[in-house]
Amino acid sequence: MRFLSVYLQRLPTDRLLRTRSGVAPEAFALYARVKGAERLTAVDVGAQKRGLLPGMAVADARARCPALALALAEANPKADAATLDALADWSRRFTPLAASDQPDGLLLDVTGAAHLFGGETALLDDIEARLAALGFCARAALAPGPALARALARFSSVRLVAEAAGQGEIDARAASLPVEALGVDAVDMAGLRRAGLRRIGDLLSRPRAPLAARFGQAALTRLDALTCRIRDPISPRFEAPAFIAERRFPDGLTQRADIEATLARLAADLCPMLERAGVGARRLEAVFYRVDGAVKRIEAGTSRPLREPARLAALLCERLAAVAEEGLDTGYGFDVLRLCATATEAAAVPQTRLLAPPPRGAADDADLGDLIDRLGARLGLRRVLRLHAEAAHLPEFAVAAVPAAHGAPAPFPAQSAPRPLRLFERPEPVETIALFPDGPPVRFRWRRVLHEVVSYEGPERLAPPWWGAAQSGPTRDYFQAQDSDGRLFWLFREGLYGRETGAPRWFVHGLS
Amino acid sequence: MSQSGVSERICLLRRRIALIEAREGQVAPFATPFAPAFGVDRLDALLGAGRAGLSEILPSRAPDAPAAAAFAVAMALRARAARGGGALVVIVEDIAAQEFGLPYGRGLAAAGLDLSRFVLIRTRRPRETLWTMEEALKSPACAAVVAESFLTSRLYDLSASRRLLLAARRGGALGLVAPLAPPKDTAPARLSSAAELRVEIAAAAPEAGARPPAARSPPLSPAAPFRWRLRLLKARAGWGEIDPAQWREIAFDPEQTVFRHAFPERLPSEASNRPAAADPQRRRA
Repeated sequence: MRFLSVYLQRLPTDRLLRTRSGVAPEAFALYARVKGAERLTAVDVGAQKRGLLPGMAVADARARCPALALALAEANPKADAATLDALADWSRRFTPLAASDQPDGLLLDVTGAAHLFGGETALLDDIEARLAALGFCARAALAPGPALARALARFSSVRLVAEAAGQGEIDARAASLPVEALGVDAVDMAGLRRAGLRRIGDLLSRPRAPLAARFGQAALTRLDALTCRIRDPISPRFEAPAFIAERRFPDGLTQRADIEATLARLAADLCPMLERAGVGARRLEAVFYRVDGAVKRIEAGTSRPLREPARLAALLCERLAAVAEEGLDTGYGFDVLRLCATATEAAAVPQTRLLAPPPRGAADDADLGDLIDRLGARLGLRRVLRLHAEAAHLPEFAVAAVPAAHGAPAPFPAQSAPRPLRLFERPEPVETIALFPDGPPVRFRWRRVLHEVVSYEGPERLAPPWWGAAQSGPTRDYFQAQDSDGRLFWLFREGLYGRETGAPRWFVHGLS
Repeated sequence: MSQSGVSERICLLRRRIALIEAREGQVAPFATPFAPAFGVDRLDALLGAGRAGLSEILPSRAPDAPAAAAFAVAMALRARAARGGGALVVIVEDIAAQEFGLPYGRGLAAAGLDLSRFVLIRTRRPRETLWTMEEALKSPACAAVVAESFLTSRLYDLSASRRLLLAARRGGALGLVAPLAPPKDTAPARLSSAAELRVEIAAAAPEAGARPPAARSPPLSPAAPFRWRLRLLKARAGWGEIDPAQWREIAFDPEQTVFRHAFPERLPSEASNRPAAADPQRRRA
């Protein structure tokens, strides 16, 4: 296992300085209110050279540094965390398993990924150089365990512990680190200091049982993690998809035609992998890494397991076109394009039949599936629907509109009572005059227009589901009514007169 | 450029259009002469004539929009039966869903629609509706595509409708545009579009004998939803002997998927085998 840790020493100040235009201030520091006093929380290189340190009162800092030379801004931990998350997304260009290591670092699982970047040293150089170009002061370290990599990036000038290193060498590397590298809390740290333990080596050379008794098992677990004696996984920001294809370019792609052509090639790379595993993609994600560190992501769902390159590419291009309508900010271009199948489903290879035409209807289904996918990619999956029958008798619950990508509905059961062709999403209240309180409607006013009922059918009484919650609403009496212009309405009266309510209300629920 | 150059170019473009249409496998619209006949069977043939094509269904007045939409569904069912299968796509704009509700599965199933081949699409804007309709028409899976939308004549013009028509011919589907409001700026008869058929739909008038229900009269059930009053505004296949200005009553039979003349089907059920009121002498007894 190989883990890479990045330490962003000056993340809060770098975040603000990189977006600032004009001449950089000589010294820059952030402050926050701590218990009523304004204290520095982060300083940049210039401020540090002038002797400013985090924790110092702002008044002291101003005394040390002339007011003109010192620029101050209020600290914003939330924005820092968001920046770190964005950087973790950015670092997924190196490996799919990337996590942000709050508050000031990144952790990457680069097992088996370093050779793609010309070796581990080259990978470390690449990351540091790219982060420096983005305006972040970063130190990276690579080690067999995440805790060791983290400690090396923060407390040591050693950047790399070789893959072939044995336990002895790892211990020797860890021994020279200060005890702060353990990352235990302040009380334990004070205890360690008081006991005269300054280096990790001091802990390693001592018997374990007294240490455990004094500092707890947790400290020993951390020690074991630091010396890579236990496997210590990281929790990546996103699950690593099983199927990934990617292309890298020395320069950024800015033209949409280029991006689409690359997507087509990526789809052609991805499909053999899917075929080998005997699965088809149900959800695709294309990730574009922009040269300046921004990450764009488009997703497309399919209605059935797909692994034909042309169809996958068409789907993604459709989605890309939809995104491009809102404005796909290519900036200086995308230099890494990645296509992953984030959800897959088993799909058997259809048996090719010699000299026999495919069964009728199968091609139709495939065509309809294609149409649903294409429309879903452009309009959104929730806007392409199919109607499924539900086992419920209240009209609004008897039919469910389910995204078409979830499959075709079963046939509807026969309905004896008449039902309208259109149903309102929410019944609309009407003022109605009925013959008698629980009788049929005579005239009603809907949307400020008076309708005279000339004929009706009903009532059809629908009781609320008594087996459900106690408060499931009153009984409804449905009437199919025709007005003097011949228009058909589906009205209902809510509540049984005298038993459930004194003044029943009327609603229009459907039209036909 | 000289005058003759312009006309040459126009000739060239015309020839290209002719070539495109020939490639789409479309016969000229007047190639099959329309045999004149009487009655509504004629009308049924006219309504079901252009299997792959574009039809417009205008509501006579704004409140007739649900009736026009129901007529569009009936025509879609007719087209599906004529094709012998295929999917039915209904596109409903959000504002249409607010105004007139969404197609209801139980009612559609009762009308004979196979919901396993039915897709409901909700769109946000008329422009999106047109795009969706064109995509759906191009797909060979669809038998009919219905678009319910508040289209403006600025958006849905000659070129937009021509695009739809060509897409419909390529995919072999029937496109049905059901604008939810009668066009404000132009008279329905003078609307300019490439559609092959344009009809105006109003809700069927109630039965002649129907009066507001009196307290003691038996309830008279309303007509089935598949009845309309219809007027032809445009038919590229030719009018035949149909008087375009005349409103005619028409009904759709979902079982045989055929349009018929709407005869008054039901009469008020008079109590024939018993007296309407008790004999006064017996009452006294």
